[in-house]
Amino acid sequence: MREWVLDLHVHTILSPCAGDDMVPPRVLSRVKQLGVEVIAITDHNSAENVPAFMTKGKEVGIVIIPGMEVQTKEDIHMVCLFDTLEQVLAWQNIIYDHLPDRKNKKESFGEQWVIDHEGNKVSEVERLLLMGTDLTVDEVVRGVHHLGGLCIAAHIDRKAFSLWGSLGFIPADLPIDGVELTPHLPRDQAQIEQIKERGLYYHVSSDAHWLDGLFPPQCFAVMESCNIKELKSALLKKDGRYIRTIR
Amino acid sequence: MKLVNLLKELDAVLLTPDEIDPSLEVTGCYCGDLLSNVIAHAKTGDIWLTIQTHQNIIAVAVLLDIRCIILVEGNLPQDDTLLKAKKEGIVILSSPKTTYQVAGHLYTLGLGR
Repeated sequence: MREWVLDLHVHTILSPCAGDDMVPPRVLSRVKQLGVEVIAITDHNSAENVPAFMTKGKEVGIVIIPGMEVQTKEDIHMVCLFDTLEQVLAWQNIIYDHLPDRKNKKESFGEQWVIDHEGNKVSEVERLLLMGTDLTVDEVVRGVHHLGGLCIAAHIDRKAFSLWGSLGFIPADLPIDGVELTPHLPRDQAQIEQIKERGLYYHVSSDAHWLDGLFPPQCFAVMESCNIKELKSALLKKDGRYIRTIR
Repeated sequence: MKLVNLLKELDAVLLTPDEIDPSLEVTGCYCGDLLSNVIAHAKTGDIWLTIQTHQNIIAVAVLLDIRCIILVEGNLPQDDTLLKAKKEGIVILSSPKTTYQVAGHLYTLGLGR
């Protein structure tokens, strides 16, 4: 077992609200410079840039976890992580079926680029990705688990688009695997207590939308190898695995 | 005001199985879908208008001693939400109208004035 340096929530140029600099060569060289070994690619309601990042990741030696940040019916953001490209693309099919088919207004929301592993623009996703699906938070967690993935409640310390903000507290029987907090926000003691009471643990991720949003190492997991099973154990502090963050 | 009398005037379907206690009083109305904000600002005795259907709405109602929730825009509670509502004695209705329309109607009926 060893310690892995992770960032489990990173956007790419596909997310309309993300910067043009979020392409594989630039993101991965920055990540490498910072000393992060593993990043999850988690665009809003889509995984179209996961293949490009996986290809480049292999080339430069950064582990890429295929993922997506799904917006539920309640406007909650959930980070969904998988082992394989096939799994995340199967999940993308489900999400696309449950996402209102509305055309993106680039001028208001931003561009949604699919790129290749060198960062060349390949095509634009026409439908707007920055919207709620009609899946409830329970349906999202169940769906991700059914495909073999894991599900983290994103930035619950923010008012907007968070499990805590939308539903007031963590529902007792929602089988999430982890809770993400924002690196720079003050810790809310009531929240920390409730995370503990639920048998959960928190970690921090950058939720980077720009190169400048990528941080030096803040999140560490002690695991045998880096896969969903091990990560799940680390998030839930089982079988000697654990996850820790600076604060 | 008596809840039963108000509800007679509304275009809303009662979803909880038990009859409404005729002595149940309501004093105001709160509209909100961000539960963290509802917890902070709604008051005991309010009727609560929301589009949220998750079972956490029942816990919030119990916490604030809110006795009646109206799901607007035709929203229906999830199954576990309805079960919890029944257990906790919270009245749930569904209205096809918008929050604005239902709240406006309750206001013209004199609620919270």
